[in-house]
Amino acid sequence: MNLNELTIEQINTFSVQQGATALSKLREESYNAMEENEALLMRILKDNKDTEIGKKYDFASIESIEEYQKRLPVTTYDDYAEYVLRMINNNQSNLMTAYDVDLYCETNGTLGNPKIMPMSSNAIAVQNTYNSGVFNGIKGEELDPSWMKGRAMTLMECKMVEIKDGKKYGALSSIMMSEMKPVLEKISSTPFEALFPVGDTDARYLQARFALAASDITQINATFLSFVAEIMRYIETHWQMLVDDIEKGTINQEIRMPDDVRNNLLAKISPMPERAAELRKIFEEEMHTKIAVKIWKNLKLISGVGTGAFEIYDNKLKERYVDDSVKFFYAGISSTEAMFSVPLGMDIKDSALVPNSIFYEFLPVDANDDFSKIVTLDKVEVGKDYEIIMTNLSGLYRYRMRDCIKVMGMYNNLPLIRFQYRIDQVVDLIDDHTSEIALTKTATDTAKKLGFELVDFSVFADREAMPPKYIYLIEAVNIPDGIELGAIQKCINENLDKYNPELAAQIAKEMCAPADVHLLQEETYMLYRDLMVMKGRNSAQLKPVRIIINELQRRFFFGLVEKEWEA
Amino acid sequence: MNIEKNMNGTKLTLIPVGRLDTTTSPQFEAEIGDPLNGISELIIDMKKLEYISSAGLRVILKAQKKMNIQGSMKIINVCDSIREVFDVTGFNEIITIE
Repeated sequence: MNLNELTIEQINTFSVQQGATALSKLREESYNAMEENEALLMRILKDNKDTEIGKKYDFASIESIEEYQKRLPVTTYDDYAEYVLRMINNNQSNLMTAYDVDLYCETNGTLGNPKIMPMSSNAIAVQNTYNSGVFNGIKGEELDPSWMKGRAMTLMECKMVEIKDGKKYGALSSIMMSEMKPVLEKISSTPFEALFPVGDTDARYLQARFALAASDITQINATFLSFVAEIMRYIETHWQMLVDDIEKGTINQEIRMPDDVRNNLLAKISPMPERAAELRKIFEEEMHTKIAVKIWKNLKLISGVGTGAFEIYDNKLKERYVDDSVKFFYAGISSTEAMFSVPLGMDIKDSALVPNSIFYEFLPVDANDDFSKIVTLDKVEVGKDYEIIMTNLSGLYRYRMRDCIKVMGMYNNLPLIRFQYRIDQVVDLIDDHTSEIALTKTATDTAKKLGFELVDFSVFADREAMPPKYIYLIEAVNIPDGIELGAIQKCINENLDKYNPELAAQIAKEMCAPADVHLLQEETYMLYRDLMVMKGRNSAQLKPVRIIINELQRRFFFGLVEKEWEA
Repeated sequence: MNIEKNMNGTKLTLIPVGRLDTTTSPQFEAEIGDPLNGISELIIDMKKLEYISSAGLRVILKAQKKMNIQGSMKIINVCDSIREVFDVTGFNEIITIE
């Protein structure tokens, strides 16, 4: 099949057909989830019996899950770091995995030290089948078929480098986007120059400009919903420049990009006065009225991670930019290490495990690292919080993910889960176990009650204060006249009490002090993001700094407090 | 905001005056867009700058990104309060500040 000859509708139809097969396969597997998962483990052990790790633990002689659990310890990245270095630097194989590994992905190291993970071709195949496949299958089932005639605004920047002997290094999303390259420019409004940016190309401008010019956008796809909220804010702020460029068929001279990139792009565009007039009317007359569905009248779908720390962006998009006609597909739980789960429908935040992606074990979060309490997927309890211990297709065995998930229900015999928080992202002043969710709800409820727009926030646990206290650092815009810092602080403390009664009890006993609040200067979070990218972090991997965990972050955010609010 | 400019061949010195914040940073950003084409050495002289906010820092970062490709950039004559901002934000690790 020559992909270049296909229309966008034909490409989308083909994707939906492939997706329907993947969706149907997962539904079938849901009846025998444990059997499928056990078979996967046995397959992994058999295939990897001659690797260095396989020989060390004698995979060849393991015949049951119980034996596997007895033989292999629970592991962390430190157990693999040396193998990964030997694979990359010495081109050695058969160390962790017998499967082909040509790709290495960086993880979003919570402590600011990204880890390098191998990704086998088998793991990528599973990701393609279940992640993209199930997404496309659900689009086929739940969206009005007219979506297939339109393009997507794709908010991803792919950066991949060749490291050695043809091996590549980058974020997982970059790798998956690269695989779609042959059809990408046809199904996406975002030009290659923004999807695979070089030099100092301002990808954000290009994403916005080309999407605004395209009246046929039916979906917006991003890694995280924060990217969608950010591009909408950019459009609101820069609409005049963007619309002028669309009208004249130009790219504003102030937008940064190498000359050859600019010339390539200019060759692709022409003046669009009618579209510009239509957009200008919308921005002048209908700003702040669910503007995304006015700009793109056929917008049907927004997809990206929208749970956990990203819920505030989900709320923001629904409150400000789209109405009920737009469905949301919340990407399941997926990381560089593996794909854990996929949602089985639109607008659903719970996602189903994928029994042929990884072998799952679950450690109850309240077990205090008592590994004898670990259970398999057939024994999890609905409503309980667990840490996932995984064995994947890329050489990790009984690996601790440090993510807390809650089992929300069952789909046939397949657990449905929801991400709760990074286990290392629960903070304590004095044994109060304040979760990221409680901190987030506190901030979002405060913004809602007082009527300001929450751009982002971070929290610092000041344990050296007497008594210790939390400090909220908030970037907010459109704060109503008359609202003072004291009112925000009062509301934050009321909500903290509500969402963590344990903390309220500690404050009542004067073991902790009520939280302090500081407002940050405008654009502080965008600055943090720009700075991290400048320092070499992959933008697709950057997550919000909800809990300040190191001195670098502490100095940065406290250094940018808006002093005018402090008086 | 007033921005004084001195051009000497391919060396450009920008002297922002007053405050570089959300309100004034678009104006400064215009100076580091097209006008920087062909510049191999950019000096931002902060002797007349009293205050810089996050929005201003983002523009400085954009200038550095551009000059990383086409030449060099340095910041000079920084007052103590702005030097402290560069210090706490980690700017001094990626930008030459004299």
